[in-house]
Amino acid sequence: MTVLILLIPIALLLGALGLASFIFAARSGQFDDLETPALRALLDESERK
Amino acid sequence: MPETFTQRVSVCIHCGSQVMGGGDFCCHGCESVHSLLAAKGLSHFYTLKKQFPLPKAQKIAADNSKAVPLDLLQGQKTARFYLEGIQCLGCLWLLEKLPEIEPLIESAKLDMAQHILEIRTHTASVDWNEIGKLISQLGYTAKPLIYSSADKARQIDQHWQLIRIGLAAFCAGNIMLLSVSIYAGADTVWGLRFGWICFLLAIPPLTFSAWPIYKSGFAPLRHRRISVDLAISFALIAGFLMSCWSLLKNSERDLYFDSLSMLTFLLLSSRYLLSRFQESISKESSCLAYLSSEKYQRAFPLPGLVQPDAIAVADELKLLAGQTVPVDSILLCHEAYFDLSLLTGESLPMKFLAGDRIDAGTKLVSDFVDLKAVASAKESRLAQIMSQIRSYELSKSPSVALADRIGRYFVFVVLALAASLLLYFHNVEGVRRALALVIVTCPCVLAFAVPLAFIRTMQRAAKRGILFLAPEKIEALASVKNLFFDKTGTLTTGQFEVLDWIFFRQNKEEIRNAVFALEIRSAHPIAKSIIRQLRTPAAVSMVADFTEIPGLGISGIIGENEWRIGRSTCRVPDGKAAIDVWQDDEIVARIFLGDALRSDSKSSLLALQNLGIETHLLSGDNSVNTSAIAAETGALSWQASLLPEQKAEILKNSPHSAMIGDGANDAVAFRAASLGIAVQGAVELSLKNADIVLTKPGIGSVAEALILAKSAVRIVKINFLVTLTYNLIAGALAITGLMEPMWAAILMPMSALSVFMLTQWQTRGKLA
Repeated sequence: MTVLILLIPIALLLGALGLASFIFAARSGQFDDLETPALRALLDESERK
Repeated sequence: MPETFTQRVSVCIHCGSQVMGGGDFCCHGCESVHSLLAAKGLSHFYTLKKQFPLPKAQKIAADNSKAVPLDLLQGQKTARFYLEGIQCLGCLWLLEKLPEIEPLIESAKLDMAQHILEIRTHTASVDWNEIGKLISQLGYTAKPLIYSSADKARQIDQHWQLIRIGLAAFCAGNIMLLSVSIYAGADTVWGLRFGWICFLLAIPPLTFSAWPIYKSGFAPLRHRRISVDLAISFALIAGFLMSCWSLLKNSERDLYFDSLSMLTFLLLSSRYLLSRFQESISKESSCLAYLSSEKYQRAFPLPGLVQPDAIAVADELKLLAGQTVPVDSILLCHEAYFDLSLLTGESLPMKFLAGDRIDAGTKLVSDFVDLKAVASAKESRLAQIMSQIRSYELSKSPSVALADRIGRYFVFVVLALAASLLLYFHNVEGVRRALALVIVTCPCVLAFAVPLAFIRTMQRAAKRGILFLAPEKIEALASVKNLFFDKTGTLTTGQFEVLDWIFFRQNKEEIRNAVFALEIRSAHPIAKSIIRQLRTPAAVSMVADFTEIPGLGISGIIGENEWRIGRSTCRVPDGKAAIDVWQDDEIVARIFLGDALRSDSKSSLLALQNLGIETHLLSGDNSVNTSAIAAETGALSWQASLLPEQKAEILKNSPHSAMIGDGANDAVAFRAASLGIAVQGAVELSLKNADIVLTKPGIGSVAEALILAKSAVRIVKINFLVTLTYNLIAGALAITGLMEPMWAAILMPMSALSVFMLTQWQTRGKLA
């Protein structure tokens, strides 16, 4: 059971990493336009010139 | 026979529209775009266009001399533009290739949903006018967007909302995991340790994330008003303090961090979903469907198809027969006939000469004319209706007001019950029950489900050409029992149509052919009505010596006979006309013209009667014409020769009645009736007094409107019922102690979301 003292902070830390990246994504406006990126993916980049 | 044009028809390489007379391009614009793309090695655009074809081809307006001046952008590194002409994936590809065309541009990002292009440049010293020219060379019109501080604030607020939700989700999820072990029976030492971690994790969601809830809960208190969020705020704070107290007493029981943080997360996310949804509704404003229903051919300055709201003063337009003048304009052609019946009620088309002013709303009868706009669509009356609709959007219908009142009493009752539970038990059990009660009962369902049902219905109706000018009109329409129709322009077309032929000789086919051959050469409106009614004969006879004497008629020689068509000397009732056909000075046929019934009037009235509506006809016309129309449509009753005041009097005396009409004389009746419905092309005065405006010709959409209104009222009733039942049952369970606060925290946002989904789902689908 004592290993929990280590495991719980690790779990929380990993979760916090996910949270931090979500906050970063939200602040940089990645959730502002939910339509265009889906369309952009359909364009073939190999067709560049 | 009129000359026929045999032309080669090809397809424009760039836009795909038909090119008369052959050739690769339909206009210089398309040609210059094509050559620009070829020069920059961007011809892949056309492959993309083929892969993702569009239903409508739009002519490209590429005239770089007319690009919008962008001087106000000078000195900026980034700018945002609203682009006209965005259609498909090809546009996205092309616009995001801008940095390859113009090396000064660092990046270009297009938002397909909003048609907004954001351009970032390498230096601030770039000439934005050049970039604007480049975009218009590609065939788009770029309007610079000034990024107002309100827009910026709204966007940042949205980011913060998301962060609040994310934080609450993270904390609530971890608290749940730790709580599981407490519930599962962790020993006191570990249970307490877990409890303390939960306490730490509960601080961010209950302070930072729940801040908007506290704000909307406590702020109205300053104005002595109680908001729905007050009870929730109390529950969050009291629950948190109470859990902290148990922790301090070294008890791992009665910790509510899990319920409270979960409640915060679910509540915030359901509200976020709702606000995103409402935003998308307000964007595709209900009235846009109205304005964009027709496109107009612009000849100058930027050739192409435009929507009425894009027409600017001094633009030159080509109007086709049957189109309605979109904005107040001046006639550029020599002469033309316009149908003013919508504005003046005059059935016969009027002749206009070059330089005459033509009001928006008049309909072209002649083949095609050139017009010059003297006002923009924003100054027209359509725009005024639109702004009126917007201002009504937030006004409250009886149901909404009721929901509000219930909501306020609701909070009082819940708080009072919770307080009495605390006093009665005077221990932890009381707190547990009070907490569950406050959390689980939720009037916010009423606060948003009812307006949502109405907004959705208005939106659906607008797509079908029915504009409710205010939400409460939906409820008014649903309770209508008697419908009163105006005759001219409502049940009838309001135009001159051929009603009947009388032949005095038996060579009917020969007469019809001769009339066709003669009338096809005339531009007179009556000639056009006759041609519309006649089928084109297999061979149109040759006419020699065709002469047209204005006011008298037309004549010509066909074969060996001289034919003449002109005004008859026989007496006809008011509002009708008779035309005689002479063959060698002998009258061989007589044509009666008059206001004809709309093709869908009879079926529409029948549909309404099947819905249990009584239909009545009120007309200012004489009783002969009125009774004929009433008999033909199957209206239950009719009254003729009515003055506007008399119409109003009749409506005032019949409860649950609606008036449908188009003319200024109906405006008084609209006021007197419980509800006024203006048909397409109604005059301004009646539009102003109407409650519902139909934007499709005819009265076919009235029955649809009625069905929509009834279903909206049904949905609202269901919502009320579901919410009240849920609250009664859940409240009873909480008071008797059968419901844990954790269950309450999950149930409450779920019930809100499910009512929301129910409304969404019921206002979806097709009409029954």
